[in-house]
This record gives sequence, structure tokens and C-alpha cells, in this order.
Amino acid sequence: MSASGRESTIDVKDASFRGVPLRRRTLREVGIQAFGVGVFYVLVLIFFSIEAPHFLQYSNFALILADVAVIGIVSIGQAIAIISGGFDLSVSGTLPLGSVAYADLVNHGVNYPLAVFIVILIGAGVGVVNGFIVARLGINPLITTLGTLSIAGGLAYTITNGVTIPFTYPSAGVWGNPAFERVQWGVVALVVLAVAGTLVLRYTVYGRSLYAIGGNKEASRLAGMRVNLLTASVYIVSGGCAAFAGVVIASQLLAGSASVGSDSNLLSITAVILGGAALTGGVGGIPGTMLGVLLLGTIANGMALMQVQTFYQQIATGCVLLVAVGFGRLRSYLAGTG
Amino acid sequence: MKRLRVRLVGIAALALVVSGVALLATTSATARPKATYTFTYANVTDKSPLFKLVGDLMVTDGKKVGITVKRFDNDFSASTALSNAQLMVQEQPNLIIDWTGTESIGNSIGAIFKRANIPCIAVNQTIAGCPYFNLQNKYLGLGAAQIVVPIMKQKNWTSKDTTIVMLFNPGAGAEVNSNGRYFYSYVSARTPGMPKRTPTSITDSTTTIGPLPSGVQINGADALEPSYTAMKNELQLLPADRHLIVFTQNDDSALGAWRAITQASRQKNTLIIGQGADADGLKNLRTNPSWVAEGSVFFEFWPEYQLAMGVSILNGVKTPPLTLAPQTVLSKQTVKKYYGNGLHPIVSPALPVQDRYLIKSGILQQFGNVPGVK
Repeated sequence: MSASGRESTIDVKDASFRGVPLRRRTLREVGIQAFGVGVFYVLVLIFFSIEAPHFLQYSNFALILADVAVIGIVSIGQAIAIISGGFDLSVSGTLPLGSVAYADLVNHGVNYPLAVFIVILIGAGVGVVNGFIVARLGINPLITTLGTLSIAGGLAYTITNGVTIPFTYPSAGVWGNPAFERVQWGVVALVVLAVAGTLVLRYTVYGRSLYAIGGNKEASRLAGMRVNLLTASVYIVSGGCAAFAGVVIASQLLAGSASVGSDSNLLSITAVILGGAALTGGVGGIPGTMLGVLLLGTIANGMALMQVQTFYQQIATGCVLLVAVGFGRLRSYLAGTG
Repeated sequence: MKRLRVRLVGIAALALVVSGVALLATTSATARPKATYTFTYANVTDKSPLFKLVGDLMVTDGKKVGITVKRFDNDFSASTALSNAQLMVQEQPNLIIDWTGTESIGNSIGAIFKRANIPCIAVNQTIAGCPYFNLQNKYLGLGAAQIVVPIMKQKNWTSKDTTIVMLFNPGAGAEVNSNGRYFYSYVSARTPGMPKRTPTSITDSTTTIGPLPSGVQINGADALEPSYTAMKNELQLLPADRHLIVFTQNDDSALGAWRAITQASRQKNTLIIGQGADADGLKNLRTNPSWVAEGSVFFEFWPEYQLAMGVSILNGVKTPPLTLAPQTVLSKQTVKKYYGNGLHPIVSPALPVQDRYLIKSGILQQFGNVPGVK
């Protein structure tokens, strides 16, 4: 990207650190981390294939994919936010808001594509507020998105009065219907968004700029990048993704509820970090994030099939996640980049 | 002299007006119920429309029977409940009704009320020193089982081909989760070949009962999405031709489980029980052939019961250890009796023996919705 400033022009492709071009170094680190988690994921798959009945079946993998579709879509937006040096806690409010808004719209006869579009606009609207406060007013994203989480979640409860809204027309649940061989349209949407996100981050000026501002905001500003606009844009994308995830979960449940997705912010951040991102920004990627999402979904599914007691499931999930992160870091260390 | 006469006429006219006004005031005072008591009431939360309705009705029902009710919102928070307890004491009411919604803070709140020497009622969660008003979850389980067992027999479902799926919430405590356990216990005792269990032998750690299995307990967290996910996973383990009896603890959980069942096209082999009698639950009970029972605790009637209990306490009546909230399990046959064709109850179940002391308070009679109370 060429900056507009004459004297401070920096090409992101040429940016380097310790002699290694920034982008290549970033991709290598993410690749190594993702490879580490990938190896761990294979071990998890092998373990559950042996221990959990019915795990190694096509129908179960379709089920895992359907389960992770919602959190996967949220995680794409979250990954972009984290790569740019921020994070978005408000997804846990935007997701249920999207869910109940979609249910309400389709129940009032709005056609499905238009309803989806409106819901994404609502999510983007939450993102605009986040982006404005974080980028223009310079308020910490933790506080900002915590505030909008509360507002968006409260709005969802206000719209529904706390009551679940079932779809009047079950055909509105298109994203929960099978697209092919038990694989839901929501999963297809996740794959499309993941591929699009990967391409944007890797091969566009916009994507590379996000890595740059995540790595060093001030340097990026001095290089002439429109940091405020870029920062605001990631919250808009994240809000849109979260709202669309709300549509998908509402389609799966054939109902909108203000209580869905309450843990989606922490789960999505976990998935992004598992995928090789750093909370400090500038590192990470969508493929690794998807691996993180799959790991979370597979562990939950496998333990449910093994009928592990609920309390032990929580402990085991925490332990497995710590081991997974350790695995990734160990792999980085052995590769000499840790 | 003339001036004196005018003055006397004036005084007489004034006296007439004053006495008229006084008479009017007396008449209107006797027409309206006299506010005899002031109660303070802390609602469990005003965020849920159902619970908010209870809080609203507490005030309006109180007004109807001449009791001023000042309300607070505990917001399902232990710290808020503690703070509200202090605020309610400051109001110096005749009686405090507290629905804390939080376990394990009853001792500290009870101490606050005891220090202030104000009589109190504990709703749903115990408070030391306060007479207790609550539903009994076990009756919801037993009531549902009494509806389901005949249906099972009619359908020729046996222990060999049937699994009872209990959706529970491991964080909610033993009392809340006991309903499904009583349900399993009752059904298994009347189904030859099904492994027998006492309700207390099924705990939060129990995942399966019997080798087939005859019973499974899965974590639905009493919510829509977790119940959907948990049920989807469980269906993987249960053969498609197996009959399912799904017991849930609220209607959101039932809706989530039901969605998973319909997605797996297993609704014809399933009986499901919801709880709460909300709009979705009542609609399903009336129209869905598989939705065979629906627990109802008649929240709309809780205020009048609690007001009657409060007046009884102030009248010096010794209350039983537990005053039972109105509750029943609705079937397709009884839903009309209690709810008509609407979404709100029109009549309460009959008073259980231990609650009959409430009649003497004279409060229930003013609402006319408790059978046998005149």
C-alpha cells in the first residue's frame, strides 16, 4: 500500500522486522502456530475416534460443522478485529440482537434475503458505534465493546420482552436447512466467509493494512494509513458477522432468543488465539482461527458423546485448550521463532 | 343585629359545607378498602416478563385488598438482594416478602430481618427465620409421570425400546433438578425391566442409567441453545428406532430439544414434557401430538397467596414449614380447565391441606379464583 504522505511512504510488503519481511514473518508464525494446533487437533480426532462411540461417522462430522458454524462466523469478524490490534466483546450482544431481529422481521412478513440484509446492517450499525468510539474518541476497545455488548444485549431483551420468538414460517430457517448431504447452509456460509476473509487478509491492500496497524498503529499512521477508518471498519465487519451468526442460530433453532450466544465473545477470542493470533495484534489468520473453532467444537462434541460429566467437561475443556496453546508455542519454539 | 344575623347564616352555611365534605370523605373511605398494612416485596428479577408480572401483580393485588406494597428488584443477584434487604428494613413495613433468587444467602438476609424485628416470608429460597413459600419440583416430575405412564402403555412402549432423556441444569441445585429424577423414578417403577432408581440416587454426576440406556441425563442449562446442542449430540447415541421420553425443566429447553428432535425426524417416536406453561408451551400442548404434558406453577396467583400468607402471619397464625405455591401438571385434557383457550390461568388448583390456613386471612376470597374458597 502506498501512503499518501510524500515523506513517510511505506510499502507494507517491504516492511521488515529482524531482516524478515513483515508479512512473510507473520504468515510463518501463524502457520507454525496453526500447524502446532493442527497436529494437536489430529491427536484429538484420533483420541475421540477410539474413545467416543459414533464419533467417526459422517453424520457426526456434519453435526460438528453445524455446531461450529455460528461461532465460526463470529470468529471471522473477531479475528479481523484482533489482527488489527483490537477485539470485540460486543458480539455477545450483537448475535442475540441479530437472532431476535431476524425472527421478528420474518414473522412480520419481510422476505428472507431482505431480513438478512437488514440484520447485517443492524450488526454493522453496532460496529459503527464501536468503531467511532474506539477510533475517533480513542476509548479502549475493552470498555467500548463491553458497553455496546450491554446495550445490544439489552435491546435484544427489550424487543422480545425476554421471551423466545418462534418463527411463524419455519421456511425462514433456510440457514439451518441441509445444503447437501446433511451439511447445512450455515456451514456453507461459514466456508464462503472464511475463504473470502482469508483472501482479503492475504491478498488485498486492506487486509495487509490491518496487519500493519495491528503491529504498530503509530508507525502505520506515520506511514500515511487511514488508521481511524481502518480501525472503525474492523468493528463494522465484526458486528456484521455477529449479526449474521445470529441469523444462522435463529435458523437452526427456528426461533430468535435474547439468551443465545452469551459466551460467543470469549469462545471466538479463544478460537482466534488458538489459531495463532496474539492479543497484541498484527498476527493471526482465518485458517488458523477455523482450526481453533473446529478444535473447540470437536472437544465439546467428543466429550458429549463420551458422556463425560458436565463439571468434568468444563475442566477437561480448559486443560485441553491450555495444552493446545502450549503445543502451538512449543512448535514455534522448536522452529526458532518462539 | 342584622350584621349578627348575616354572620350566623354564614357560619351555618360553612358548617353545612364542611359537614357535607366530611360526610363525602367518610363515604368514599368506606367504599374503598382501607390500607391496613404496608408490605415490602423484593422480586427475583424484573428483567423476565413472567417474573415482572409477578412483581406488578403483587402491587395491584395488594391495592385490591388494602395492602400497600413497595417493591424492589433483586435482579437475580446476591449482592443486590443483600442491599435490598437493608433498604426494605429501612422502610419499616409491617412485613417483608423476599424472593432472593440466590442460594446460600438466606442466613445473612435472615439476620438483617431479625435485627429489625420485622416478620418476613421467604419465597423460593429459604431465609433463616422466615416462613417459606415455594413450589415443590418433585410434584412436577411425579405429575408428568402420571400422565406419561398410561400413554406409554397405550403405545406399547417398553423398557427394551424406550429411553428417558432428562435435560437438566447442573448449576441450578438439587431441588430444581429433582423434578426429572422423580419423573424417572416413578416411570421406571411402573415399567417392567427398566432399571429402578430412587430420585436421590440420580445426581448431577449421573449421565446414563442402565446399559441400553434406559435413562440419560444431559446438560441443557435450562436454555434454548444449549438444550438444542445437547439433544443433537445425544440423538447420535440413541438408535433411530428407539422411543424417547424427553423431560425438560422449562419451555425454552423443551423448544431447543424439540427442534433437535424434528431435525432428526424423530418426532413420531418421541413424547416431550415442558415446564412453565408459557405461550409456546401451551400452544404445543394444545396442538403438538408429542407434547403430552406441561408443568404449570401459576405465577400469576403467587401474589395473592403470599399476601394471604403475610396477613396470616400478622394475625399470629403459626404457618407450616412450607406453604405450597399453586402448581399442577397440565395434560391435553386439563389445559382448558385451568387456562381456557388463553395464555393466562383462569383458576388455581385446589388448596392443599397445609395451605388451608390461608383461607382465614380473607384475602383469597377477594380474588375468587381458588376452588372451594368462599
